[in-house]
Amino acid sequence: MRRAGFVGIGLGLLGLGLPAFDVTLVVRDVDWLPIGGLIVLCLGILAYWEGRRAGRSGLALADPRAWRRFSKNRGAVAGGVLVVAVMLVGFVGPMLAPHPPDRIFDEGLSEDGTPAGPSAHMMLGADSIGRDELSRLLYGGRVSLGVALGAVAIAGLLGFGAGLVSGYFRGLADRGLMALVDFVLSLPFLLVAIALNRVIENPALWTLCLLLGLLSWTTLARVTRAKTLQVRELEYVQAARALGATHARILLRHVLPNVLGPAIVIATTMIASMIIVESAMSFLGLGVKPPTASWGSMLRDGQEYLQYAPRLILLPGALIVATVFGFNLLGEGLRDALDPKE
Amino acid sequence: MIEMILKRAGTGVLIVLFATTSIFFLAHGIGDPAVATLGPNASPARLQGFREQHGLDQPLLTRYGSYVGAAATGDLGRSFRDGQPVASVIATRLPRTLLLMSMAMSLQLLIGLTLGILAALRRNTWFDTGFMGVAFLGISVPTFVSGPIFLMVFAFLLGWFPIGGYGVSPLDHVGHALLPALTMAIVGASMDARIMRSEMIDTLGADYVRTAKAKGLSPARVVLAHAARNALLPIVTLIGLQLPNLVAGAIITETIFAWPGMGRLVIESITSLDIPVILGVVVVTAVAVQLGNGFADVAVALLDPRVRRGR
Repeated sequence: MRRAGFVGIGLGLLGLGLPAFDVTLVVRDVDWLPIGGLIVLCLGILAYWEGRRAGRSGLALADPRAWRRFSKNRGAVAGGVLVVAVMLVGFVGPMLAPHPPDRIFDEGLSEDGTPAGPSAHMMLGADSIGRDELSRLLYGGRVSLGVALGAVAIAGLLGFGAGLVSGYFRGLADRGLMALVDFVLSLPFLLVAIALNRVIENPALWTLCLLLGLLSWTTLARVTRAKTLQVRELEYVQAARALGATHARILLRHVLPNVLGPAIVIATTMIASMIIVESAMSFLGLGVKPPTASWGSMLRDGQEYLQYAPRLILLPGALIVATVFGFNLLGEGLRDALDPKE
Repeated sequence: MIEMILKRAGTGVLIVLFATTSIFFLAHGIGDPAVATLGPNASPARLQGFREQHGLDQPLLTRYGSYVGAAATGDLGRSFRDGQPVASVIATRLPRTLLLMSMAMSLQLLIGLTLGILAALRRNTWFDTGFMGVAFLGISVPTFVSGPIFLMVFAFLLGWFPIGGYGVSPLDHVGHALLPALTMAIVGASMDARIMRSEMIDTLGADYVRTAKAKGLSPARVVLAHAARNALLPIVTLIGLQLPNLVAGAIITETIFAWPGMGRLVIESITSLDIPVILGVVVVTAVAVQLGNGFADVAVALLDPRVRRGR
């Protein structure tokens, strides 16, 4: 049943990846992709549960005590619920959107040029140039979440891989990688991110993901390395080595499952910070390209009409805060559940 | 101690060089600055003239060499947009941002440390849970959300603060900086409060605090001179690490409040692909962040004899 646990994690990641893929690789508006992603995600959770129930999946994540601690933590559960809700809005939301997000309506602007208020036609009113605010919020969530998930996926692969290699093999690879980590960490993140995003010739959402991923893998690499250094000295790893297991086998079967916990905690809080970074960049006008809606770019548009239509900053602002808060709560809850000592 | 400072300075110089080099080659390697500045419809003769004027017709490595050589003497080149010397543009903008940042940092520490200490002293009361909940939420409210809301509530609706800009006299500058500084301080104050609380809980339970109490020192002295002083160490390191956040905060806040400092300069230069200014800002910011981090390391060493004497 150990395999079911791994299959579950694989399917879960695929399920999370499909909607991100849909948004970022400009396979946009293929509605079945997010839905397919959700179904695969559910299958993954089921398979994982099955593996966990058998109790032999060998993953720290599958420790029933950890799950009990998690479900007793009210903040963590609230965070989980918030995250699931936001994900649902992000992935299924565009189907519920009453209007195309980029369409400009004549009745969207009132006679003095200010955005029209809420009406039966536009439930949350219009934005600064007469587009439907509700539809843009629903589409924008998918862009904000998709970019964040894509960036964390790239940073996760890089950082987790670098951390494992660094901590397991040590020596020259370790010193080189950690020097690189120090350098990347010392760059003023937002400044470099907007500068690079501006000089990219044909910016797309996937280049933004790549850029953010390449700038942000460092924390994960450090944490994974520290944990790997600990795990590689444990008896069962030495036993495996004595039995003549290959490095690949030791890494995948013995080390990886035991360093995954902290990595997942970091990745969860990283999603929160990537949402902030993407929104900040779009807020400055140097993130996603107009007319694409993202919560950050909507906040930017809304600023103009601060006095007349405060809802244009309050709505996307509230969604950003709720999402970031949810991921932060979830990350904190996972940290407490997986590592009760700290 | 001196060896440690020298080592730290060496790493700092390397990091600044790395940042400058990577941005230099990325900025020059992608796109044509002449086309970006003069527009796609400029005549070939004008484009050629622009390239010659700014030395863009030379090989990339030669340009890099002369840039680094000149930068070492304080010459950061001239802006593509208006021909102004980059160093003097930065010299006008930098003090304004430093004013904003120092006010933000003071507010952040004042709010964060006070709340952290009080929460630790009133552990597990409504005060503690309430304010720590607020602090956790505060971490999740980015400056570009709180900024416009503050502007709307405190400047437009209540009229307590000016709507933005820089002001005319020194006192006026401080008045104009208050609301942006408060905006920038929120996230940092929330982090500081949480860390200060958990550090204080550790130090309040330490043996030396019990000894201090047993000696009959006043509670205020025990809390501030013994417990808080030791709890401050991680905060000092954290402040160093928060500097890049403060830079990001300045970029966003200056945009919201129309504060004509380095942050606005960043956005203006990046939007118009004014490469000399972008490079200049990156160099100055990298130097500033390294200096800040270095000072934090030295301060920790000075505050903590264990670090000072080499573990």
